[in-house]
Amino acid sequence: MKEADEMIITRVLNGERDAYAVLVDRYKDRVFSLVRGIVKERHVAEEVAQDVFVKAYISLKKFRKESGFSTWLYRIAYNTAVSQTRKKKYLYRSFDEELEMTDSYDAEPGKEVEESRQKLLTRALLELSAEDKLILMLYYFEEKPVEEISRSTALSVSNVKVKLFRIRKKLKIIMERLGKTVPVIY
Amino acid sequence: MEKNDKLIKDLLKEGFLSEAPAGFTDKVMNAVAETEKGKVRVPAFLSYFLLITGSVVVAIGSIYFTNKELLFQYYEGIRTFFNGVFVSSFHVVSNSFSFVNGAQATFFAGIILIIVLLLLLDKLAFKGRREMNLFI
Repeated sequence: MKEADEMIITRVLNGERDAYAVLVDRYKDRVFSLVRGIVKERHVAEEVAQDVFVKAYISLKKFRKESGFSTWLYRIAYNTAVSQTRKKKYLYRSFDEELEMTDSYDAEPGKEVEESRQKLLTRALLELSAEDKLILMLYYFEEKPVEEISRSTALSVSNVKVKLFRIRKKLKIIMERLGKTVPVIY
Repeated sequence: MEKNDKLIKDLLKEGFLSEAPAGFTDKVMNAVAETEKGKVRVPAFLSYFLLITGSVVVAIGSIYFTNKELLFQYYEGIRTFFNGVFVSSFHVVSNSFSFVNGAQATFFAGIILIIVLLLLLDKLAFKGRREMNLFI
């Protein structure tokens, strides 16, 4: 049975530094995905994502268990990634440049329709703002309630609901705009 | 989660999530180890020494402002006692090196020796605490 985040944190704070590797393994893909969605460059995203985990380790004593560890971690990831884009604006590729990169993606025979949908979804996701991506991560992957997302993002509950509604609508519009022949999700 | 949300989640898993690079965890743990090395640890015994010294200064100050007569009555005795502690702690070494103005030199040397001894004791004690994973 997977050990709870809080138990691992307790072990780390008691001096078992190596226990922190369990948390890193658990969240590295999602943190990296969130950061990459904001900073775009893969090698920069790797550095920033590593920085996120180091910052989280240093601040572990300050972690309050009001929200989940993942929520707290994603917040650090979001803040760190956004700061990075502000520091180095030249690394922030335009949407058109990103589209050119996704065009090189080749679908396997027999999986063209599904891969096409994925490619278009990737394109659609590129248009979302950094804050929208954070909310996406918290709501869809961590399945956090709107109230917790509200606390984590310092937005009101109604604001979060409105943003979620707009994200869904945006995804639908963008996908319809980019590929009308692709089956609509909903 | 609503059905539509589930559809979005399933699609997002393909379009949004990407794997962290190989060796990511090791790099993070190495960076974490580096940050630990950078921390300057204040030896516990030095903290206690400063605490005791500070307390003595505060006590003397309090007595001075409340009852000067009491302080002056015992001043000579206190001064002689502390002077004796510092001087005697370095007495053997000062004889060996034949200090000029021996008393003054051994007094300051005594202070330094006591601090060094406390630091050494603290280092030994810290090593013992770490091995026992006490982190007191």
